[in-house]
Amino acid sequence: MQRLLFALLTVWLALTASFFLLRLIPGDALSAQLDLGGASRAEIAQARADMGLDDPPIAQYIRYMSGVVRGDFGYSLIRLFPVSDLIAQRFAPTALLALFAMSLAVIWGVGTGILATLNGFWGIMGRGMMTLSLATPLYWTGTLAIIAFSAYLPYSGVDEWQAWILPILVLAFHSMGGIARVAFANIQAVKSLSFVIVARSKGLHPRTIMRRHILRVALLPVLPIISTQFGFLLGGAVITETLFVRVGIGRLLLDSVIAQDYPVVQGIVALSAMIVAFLSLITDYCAYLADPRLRWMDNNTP
Amino acid sequence: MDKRNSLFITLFVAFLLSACAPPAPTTALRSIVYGLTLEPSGFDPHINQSSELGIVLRQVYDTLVYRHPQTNEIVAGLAESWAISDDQKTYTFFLKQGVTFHDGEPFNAQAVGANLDRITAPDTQSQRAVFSLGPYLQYVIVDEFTIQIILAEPYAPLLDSFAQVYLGIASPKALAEYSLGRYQFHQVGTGPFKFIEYTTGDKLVIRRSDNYTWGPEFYGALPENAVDEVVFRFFADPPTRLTALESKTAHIMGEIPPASARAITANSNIQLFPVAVPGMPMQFMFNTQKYPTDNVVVRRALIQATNRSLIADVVYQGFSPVAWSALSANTLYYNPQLVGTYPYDQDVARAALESVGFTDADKNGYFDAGEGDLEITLLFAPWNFMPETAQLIQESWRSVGIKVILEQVAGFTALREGVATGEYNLVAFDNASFDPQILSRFFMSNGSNNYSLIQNVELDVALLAGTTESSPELRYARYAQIQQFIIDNALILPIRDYVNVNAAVVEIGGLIYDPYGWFPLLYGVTLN
Repeated sequence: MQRLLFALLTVWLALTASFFLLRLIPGDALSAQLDLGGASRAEIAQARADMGLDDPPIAQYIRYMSGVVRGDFGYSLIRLFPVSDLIAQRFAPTALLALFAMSLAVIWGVGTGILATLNGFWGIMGRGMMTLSLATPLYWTGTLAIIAFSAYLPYSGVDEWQAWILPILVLAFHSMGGIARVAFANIQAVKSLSFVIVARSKGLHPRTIMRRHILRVALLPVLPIISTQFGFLLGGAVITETLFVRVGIGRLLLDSVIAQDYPVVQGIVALSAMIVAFLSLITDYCAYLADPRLRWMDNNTP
Repeated sequence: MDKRNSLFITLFVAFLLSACAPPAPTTALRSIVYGLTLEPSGFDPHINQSSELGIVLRQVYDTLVYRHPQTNEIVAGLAESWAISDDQKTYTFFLKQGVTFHDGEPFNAQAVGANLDRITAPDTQSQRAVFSLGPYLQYVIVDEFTIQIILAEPYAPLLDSFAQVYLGIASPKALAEYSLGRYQFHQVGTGPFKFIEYTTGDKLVIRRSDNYTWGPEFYGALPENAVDEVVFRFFADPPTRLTALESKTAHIMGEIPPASARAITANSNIQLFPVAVPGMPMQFMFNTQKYPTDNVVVRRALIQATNRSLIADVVYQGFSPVAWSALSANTLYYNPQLVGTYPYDQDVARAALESVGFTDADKNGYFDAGEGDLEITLLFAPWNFMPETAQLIQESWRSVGIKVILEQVAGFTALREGVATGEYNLVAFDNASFDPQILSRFFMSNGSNNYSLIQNVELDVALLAGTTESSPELRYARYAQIQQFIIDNALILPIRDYVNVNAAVVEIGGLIYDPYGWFPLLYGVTLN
């Protein structure tokens, strides 16, 4: 319950911050479109007033929040569409992309993390891949992937399933480094703990020690990382969707930020905050289920 | 086995074979992908203002008149002919008969009226179409195929407006059926292609309309191998546009970056279609109210200090020519006498600055201004390779002794706000238009884009006369004089004429663009 309230607070803070930060930047999408289209200054001023953009920010904020509470995220300044419709039209491709990429990133990241703890060639490969993932920016790997594979794989749009391969791979590669690093560091730390030494001195096979004793303990901290990585993944969608010519929330966010279409940006911020808050609730709960120590603490605190 | 049985078996086998045989060959749909750049905020021609929407919708709608792609003259479209009253305030259009919309609705004067009603309704919040009507008052339906447009005062660019897709004629039934925001997904016109679907952020599909017989004469007969379907997609990241063509992810693509275009010239699988876009060249406007660009001598010196042919070669790879006037060379009433004014000469520029009292007392390589150095602020957004252009300007001016401050903003919204502060010496902004009336917005005292902050009654009068006078000779004289004034007073630093470099894979044929530069005419495009 306390955690749920905390999640709501997070969403509210994100909304409020985005509302006022966006209004610190002067200008709005509506005036720009009218100006480009040839409206006179008077006509632009009239349109702004009609849309309520000249009201004091605090009045706009109250109007906006009272709408949000009722589930109404307002209208786009220039698209003649409710923000919720705009987001709904684009939500599925982004959510699926993020989900696939995240699942792959977890497997890939944990695998790489384990690989990196080995000695010799495979260890070097694992650590190399981890460093590469952490060090290369998404737009670079994405552009490279398009140049290398566009002759063999379609990469634009969302209609063909083949067009999903490259963006998922690129996004997963980008996220797996962070997961691999956590897995790697924890395995290293757990390796030198006394119960591992005991297991080894009992003559257990190193693979059994790794699987049954080290991984179970070392991989627990990976769970909470997943929810934070998911947040980064949504950020990565902005770049991935632009590069791979895909429909989605990321592209909508980018376009709306540049155009200063406030209500759309706020709607997407609210949605992202909700997703991340919700996911951290889930992963916390999973960690609670998976880790007997947490449950023990919960049951034995006075 | 008796005979009857064997007959049954034969029939049965024949039946099986026929069931397994491939279906009769249906002719495959000739479908191509046309790559657009940024997805505009909307695709309704009456509501939204972008050029991208016109690239698509030019194929879906007919307009009352067209501009001939070769002669640039206004020619018949949905209107067979037209007449303009002596007082220039009444335009009578005589409409073609036997035209139907894609949904089967008949085209007539009532349909044109319904479109005008929609465009001018305040609820529509039209961003462009309504302004292109100028001093429009009302329409009068004379008979089923005759409509009059009544203006409050003469407005010479009206026919030019009716040749643009923003005044494309839509089916009144479809307009009534869908709300303002929804209509863009269910558009119905009379053009060579039918609107099939628009998935926001993803694609827009149009398919050939079978009974299109009322097109403008220059369309001619439908060629063999003409494409049946065009899928428009958005390639927002410029460097990937060439890759998309190479891998045939797209067949036609607009706004190829100059460096990619240069690479294409060596690629026999891709053809280039550079199209000059009329209107204003890519330019900077001088702030005539802020020191030191409030001095006309300084402004002229700055133009002469700019190596524009270097910019055209390096940044634009020679695909667009240096600009000399406030209108680019393929714009109506362009004044060619201005070619060569203020040629690049750093010594002349330096001497001019010294002539108005600038010195370099502290010998640091920059002229002095007050306590510090002579500083000039350039305000620009990242489009049209402005950042690269501004850097080359910074280099050129540094060697003359001027310190340049580059102020880059994110987009047009931010640029407008930057202008509103007045804290700039030059700002990069221009707009496309075939008719020179676009200059009014930029140089009238109360013009919405008067970023040079010029207040000149003589110029105001000339600009006003340019939009109201009817005879082409008089208009030409006006606009020639206006361009001369702008250059004499050094209100702008013209850089290069805007050229949209389009490219297509070699299998594409028959691709032409209309005189407005941005808009392809896909009627006769073939895929071989």
